[in-house]
Amino acid sequence: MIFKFSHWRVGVMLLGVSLTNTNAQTVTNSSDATPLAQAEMLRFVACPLYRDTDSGRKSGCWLVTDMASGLRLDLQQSFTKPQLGKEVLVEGWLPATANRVARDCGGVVLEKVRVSVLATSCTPVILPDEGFAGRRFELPGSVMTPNHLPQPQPAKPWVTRDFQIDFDFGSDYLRYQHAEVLLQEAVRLAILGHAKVIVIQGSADTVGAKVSGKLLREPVALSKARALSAQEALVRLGWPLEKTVIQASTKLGKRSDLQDPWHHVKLRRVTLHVDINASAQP
Amino acid sequence: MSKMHWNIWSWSLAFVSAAVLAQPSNFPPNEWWQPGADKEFPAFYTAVNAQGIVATRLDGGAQSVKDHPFFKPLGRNGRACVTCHQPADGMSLSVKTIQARWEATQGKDPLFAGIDGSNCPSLDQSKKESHSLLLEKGLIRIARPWPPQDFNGKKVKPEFSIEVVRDPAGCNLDKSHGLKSPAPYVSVYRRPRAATNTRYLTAIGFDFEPKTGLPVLVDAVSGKPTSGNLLSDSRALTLDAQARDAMRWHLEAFGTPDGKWLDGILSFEQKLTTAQVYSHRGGDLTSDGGRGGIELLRQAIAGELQSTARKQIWSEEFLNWKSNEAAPEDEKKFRESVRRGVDVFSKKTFLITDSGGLNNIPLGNPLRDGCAICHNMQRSGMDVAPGQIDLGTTNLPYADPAPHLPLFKLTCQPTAKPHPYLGKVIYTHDPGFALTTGQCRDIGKITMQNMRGLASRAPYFSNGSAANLRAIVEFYNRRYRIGYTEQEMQDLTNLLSVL
Repeated sequence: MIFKFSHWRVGVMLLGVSLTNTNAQTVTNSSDATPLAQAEMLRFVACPLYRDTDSGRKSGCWLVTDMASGLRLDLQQSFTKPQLGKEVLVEGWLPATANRVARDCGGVVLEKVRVSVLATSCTPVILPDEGFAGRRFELPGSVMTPNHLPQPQPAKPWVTRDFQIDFDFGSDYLRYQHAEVLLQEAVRLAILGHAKVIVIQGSADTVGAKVSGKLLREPVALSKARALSAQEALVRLGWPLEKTVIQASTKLGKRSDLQDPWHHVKLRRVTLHVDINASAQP
Repeated sequence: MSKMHWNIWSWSLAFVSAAVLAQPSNFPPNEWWQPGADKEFPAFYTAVNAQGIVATRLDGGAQSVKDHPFFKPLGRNGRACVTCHQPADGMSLSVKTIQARWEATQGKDPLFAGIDGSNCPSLDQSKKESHSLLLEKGLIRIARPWPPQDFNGKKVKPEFSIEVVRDPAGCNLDKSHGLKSPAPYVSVYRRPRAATNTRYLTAIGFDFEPKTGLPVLVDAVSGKPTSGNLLSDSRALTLDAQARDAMRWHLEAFGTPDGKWLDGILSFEQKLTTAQVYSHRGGDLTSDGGRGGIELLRQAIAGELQSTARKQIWSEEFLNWKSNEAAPEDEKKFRESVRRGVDVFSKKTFLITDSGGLNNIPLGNPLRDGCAICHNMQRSGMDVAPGQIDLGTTNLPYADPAPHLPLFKLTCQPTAKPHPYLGKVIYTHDPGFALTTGQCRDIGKITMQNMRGLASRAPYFSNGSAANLRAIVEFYNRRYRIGYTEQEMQDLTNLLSVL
């Protein structure tokens, strides 16, 4: 791990990350594992640029310039898209050098990228398409099934499982096209499996770090706020409030955790522990 | 004669006679449904409007309205539900009808009741100018309690303070009805929404609401999820709650409503389907491949998302609406225009910017998309998610000039999250959804409406700021700097005219 211009830049080789220490099966729709061999993790703050390409709906491009390398990077893979004129925290994996090619939007695609919109303002910039086509919108792989269609049910065996819901930096917003699928599946599993309780464990990046010269650290209270958001969602989806338990972490992270470059991302989450009552299974 | 045959026969008769009578302009005032009348609501009701003919189908066949709770006065001001939900106006109320009613009764009709059919109850009700907002813009006064109350009538601690900057109607500064009165109210002025196509109003496309990042709200009484699409500010989550709210505020029926009344009102509303069925310029909307009108709307699944269905919105209704060779050229051209309008509606993209409830969910600001990103529910053009968006129809600086409306200054508390695009000080003619939630981010959000039968109920938008169908398209063109060509503007206007 090295610091370069206050950025996290970490070279790794097929880093496999263990998600939890429990024996429970872990389900998430956003892999924590490093996606590419010789990929380089970037974590920096910058001002986003919008390139006004038009390949149909939702096809405009979000770009950012990494000040450390000077590379123009493509943020399209992020769940959260930027807000013009607001700085963003960018966390993602820069492909191996051989794959650093500017594609449809005019930037190198950051893999597994997370964008968090920050409160700080910056100059709003819209670029013309300059011949770039943009990218046709495709639905993410994991979205809710519309109510008028048959609803998917968790496959047997119904066993105790963890569901991990990720959050943007500084936010307790349950992210569209990510959280709702996990929450719904968790409730369905809990109901079918006669779960005794759903434990909602909220956490926040209270460790913090200096990123691009800014200290980015989440308040301790955000752990509970995230857990409460998830609890409200579970109750609205039909799970009894009295069968939820909130465990909001108030501890600061360990220094040793900082060896893991994805550590800050992993701290911004809620884990739903659906405790299945095996003896109550039909 | 079987019921089906009877329906077809009655429809054909009505259709022919209405088509003969129909003229693009100068048609006589439509039938006024007087509260308490002893008559029958037909199985297929039709009425002429500037664009053609609108129809409302009543499932189950014709029904006497004598003593029916939707049609009889339930409160002390002589109004019934039908007063503001007139069949000829697609179960809403057009300015043309309002003005005709004033002329016919010299303002004595219960429609002009002081409670909300005038600019303020304190004004001299005998004067025409006291009813100017209703007469000129079709606006009913909606008095929302201050501090706000939520969906369940619970007081909410608002994130913002409210000041009256301008009060041309006089009600917000009124000693008895204003913000500083003993029981403070915020008076906003809104168009009556169409009490029909309720299957679509209450449909829930998905259980999750991206705007709040939470599943849709659950009704405290029934325990069921709700669509959030009923009222401009979503203050009532169910048809039952909406009916209770309307009885209390618009009919001045105090006390606990009779359960039979509520059942009767809800049962009637849920049997109605309304749409334009005939176009003066394009002819029958159900002939020659067209599937506009009632039947597809009545039979289809409610709440279907257009992109999930892999069919662009309005395509099943109109993309195959073609003329035979012998048809008049004007008809052919009009149908071509409507077909182009379908494509413009869902395929023409533009940069959507600074719209609270849309850009600030993770979709980004700006966002390149088209009309159908919000108007995404097949058949109705509503939002499959609760459709509260701040388009800028009521918030400055995007709102069109409205010297006749009150202007409020809302200042968010230092600790509150600001409105995503307007900051902590917002000037608005109507805080909209924020009068239900008390949240800064919801200031100016207005729930979108069912788009069927539009031609029968001008003017448009919640505050009546678009006088006609063309003005709706012009607003969007201006607001989002879309750059529609003249032909695209006309094509969209024509599409709206046949919904």
